[in-house]
Amino acid sequence: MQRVASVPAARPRDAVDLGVRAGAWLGVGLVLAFFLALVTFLVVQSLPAVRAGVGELVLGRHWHYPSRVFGSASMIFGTVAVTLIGTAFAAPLAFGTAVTISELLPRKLASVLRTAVELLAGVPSVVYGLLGVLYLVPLVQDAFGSPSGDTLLTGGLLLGVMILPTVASLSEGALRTVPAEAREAARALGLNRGETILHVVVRQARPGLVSALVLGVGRAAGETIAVFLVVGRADGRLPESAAEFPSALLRAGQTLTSKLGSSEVNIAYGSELHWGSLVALGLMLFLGVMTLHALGGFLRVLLERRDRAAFGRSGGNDA
Amino acid sequence: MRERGGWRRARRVGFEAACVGAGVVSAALLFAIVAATVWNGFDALSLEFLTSPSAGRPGEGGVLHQILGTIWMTAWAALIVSPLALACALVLELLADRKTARLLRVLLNALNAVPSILFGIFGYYLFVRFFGWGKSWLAGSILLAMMIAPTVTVSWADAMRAISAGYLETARGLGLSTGRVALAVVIPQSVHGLWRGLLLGLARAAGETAPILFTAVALNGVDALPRGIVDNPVLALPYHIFALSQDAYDPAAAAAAWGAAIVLFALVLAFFAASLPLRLRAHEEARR
Amino acid sequence: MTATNGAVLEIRGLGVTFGRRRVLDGIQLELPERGITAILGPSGSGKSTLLRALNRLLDLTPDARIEGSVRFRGVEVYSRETDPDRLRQRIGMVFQRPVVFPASIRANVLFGLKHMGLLQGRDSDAVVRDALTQAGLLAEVRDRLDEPAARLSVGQQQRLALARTLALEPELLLADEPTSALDPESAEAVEGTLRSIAETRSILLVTHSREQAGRLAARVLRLRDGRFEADGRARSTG
Repeated sequence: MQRVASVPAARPRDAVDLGVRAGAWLGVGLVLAFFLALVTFLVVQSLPAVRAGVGELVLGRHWHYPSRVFGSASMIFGTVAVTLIGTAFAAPLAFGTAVTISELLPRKLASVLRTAVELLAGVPSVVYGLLGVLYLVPLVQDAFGSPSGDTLLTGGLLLGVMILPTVASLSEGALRTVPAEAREAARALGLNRGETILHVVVRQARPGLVSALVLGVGRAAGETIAVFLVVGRADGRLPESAAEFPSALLRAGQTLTSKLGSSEVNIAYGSELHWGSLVALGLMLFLGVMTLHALGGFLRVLLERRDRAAFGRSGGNDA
Repeated sequence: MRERGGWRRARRVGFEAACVGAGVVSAALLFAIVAATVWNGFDALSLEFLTSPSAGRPGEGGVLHQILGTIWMTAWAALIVSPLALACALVLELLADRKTARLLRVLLNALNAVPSILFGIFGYYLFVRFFGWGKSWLAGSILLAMMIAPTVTVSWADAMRAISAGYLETARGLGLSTGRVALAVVIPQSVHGLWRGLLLGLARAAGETAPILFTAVALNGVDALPRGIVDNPVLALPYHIFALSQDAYDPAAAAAAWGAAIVLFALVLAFFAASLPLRLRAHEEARR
Repeated sequence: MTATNGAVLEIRGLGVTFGRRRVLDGIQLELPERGITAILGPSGSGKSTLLRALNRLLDLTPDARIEGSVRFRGVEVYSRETDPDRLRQRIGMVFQRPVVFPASIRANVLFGLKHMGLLQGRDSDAVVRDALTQAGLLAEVRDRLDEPAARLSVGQQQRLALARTLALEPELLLADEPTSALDPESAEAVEGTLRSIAETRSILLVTHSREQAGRLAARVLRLRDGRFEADGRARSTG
């Protein structure tokens, strides 16, 4: 399967040809313009807040707009916390599910579970939010005896449930790209099924698995609606020391996204500092997620280069 | 010498059991989510619920206008995204050299990775304030279109890639320019990629709240379908559920939220199910 | 019942059915301790299935039904007491297209030993050198053992796959068209390797090339539509 463009172009460039080309490049230009506009917006509109003091903006632990105090530290903490909790919950379950579907189940059952997982990946976040409010929140409240079940932990767990199907689905796809010959060769040596899965299949699917995880983590970090509904939306909660971490997780918190999804956006526009600070939150979120994806991409390429396994295709010339 | 395993076997069994356990948990979660949604929302569902508009208080009346609003916005999003996806797919597969194509893919990946709330904030600034549209359904459609553009593009581009070289060589051999090849061969033969991408993209777009939160929707006081662009928000299912969820301890609001959730769920499911045969085709193509 | 006449493998009445299709029928064969036995046949004749039935690789195909008896050193391969993984360690197999794992040449040779926990107390360098020597590859790779195996040519990869199998010291080798995917020079090198391996153990070679069978095998059996044709007479050993 080759790229269409690799079939060489003919010479004639009539009006139709020019029209199609122009239209296509214009479309791409529009998409590019949108993206650039979004990035520019984030940078430019947050400038007033940045100029007022980056240190305070990023490290300040209190956010209280009536007093014109805009510190994001507790929100950064919140985002990191829920993302880590969600990932810790989802990753092992997702990989285990992927292995089960790809390697352990008979074909028909695997197909059913695969479709079910893909379906789950498409459930809208607001539905997860509703489920979270009515089921997860009381569960956390009862299990931990917290005054309210709206906590960072709740947000993290809900995110975990949300990204589980996505990571599982993508991981399973990665496992399936490992050719059957590889498994056969390993079994023929005498490796049992589990050893084959671990040392051959998973090993060779590593780049794809990394991608899947990164995508899941990115989604968790950027998720707004579900987190908004269960995280408690309390500003200024930052643990003072490591010992306070567990209790901080069991209290209401705030994430970058839950603040960005709040009604503050509607009222902030009038004040340059308030609006600028909110957009700065958006910029931080953007930078965080993009960095994550970039790192993941590099890691993936690194792994692919190191593996470069060619099944039967010669990597070099015939000696 | 024929002894059965020992510790190697124990490791395998333990590992496989853990994996299957994870699979069981996933399946159980799926079941629980679907069951909870259906069980809770079933009571609220009725023909009346689906066909009548909301009444004054949250949780009263039906969701007809929300359904219409969601369909209106996503339909327009589909209309907007299709030519954009076509443009990007053509450039990716037909017009760009390797390097530019790779850059375009990077752009699409980046766009796809942007958290949806940022679409919302940006949209608020651009459409509501900068353009002065106030709340507008069109802003919502444009934002949703941009959000799903990568998905639709990649799906269409993959379908283009699967076109056999024979067709293309024949077309070129006849002296057709690239543009004509696109019109005569590439687009017609790859259009199933558009449908597939749209179904996948719209399944996502229909359920999104964050992009439309500040830009396109209102909770009430709005006609079923907008009459213009400026100052014309719509009602939408996800936003409706979102608003009701914040009142979820009120049983009436919760019931209405579940009912709307089932409807949204069903809508997303319908898109998804419709895309399955097309996705199967994609698997076949990828294997060639 | 123990093996008679020093046969390392005895097949009696072996039949394989996939769903409703009968792929192998009434297969009868004895393999001596040493030397190459060739199975010649067109594609679709069941050659690969036959090999896979011997090391129970066929177990991995869901709808395969196997009947008959396969005795490896006197012990029934399909009995409940037999551990298929252990069996596959003792019966080596090479495939048409060599599978090379994304690791160094050295790691590939040691792959089976390492992941089955058999490397304890052994000099891994010696194992690697020995296996590569048997496979006829050492000379070409001795100063780049830590390079990625993917960089080898196809012919070298096939010999690497052989080395990997030989490192496990199998008592019998199954070879499924091992040179079909190779260029003539590599094929020749692999054939040489097979000949020297056959000095110490038995090889069951599946091939579609009559010339190759004639070159390598002491005995040639023709397989057609899942059955052996009128018993192959021993050809003049080459």
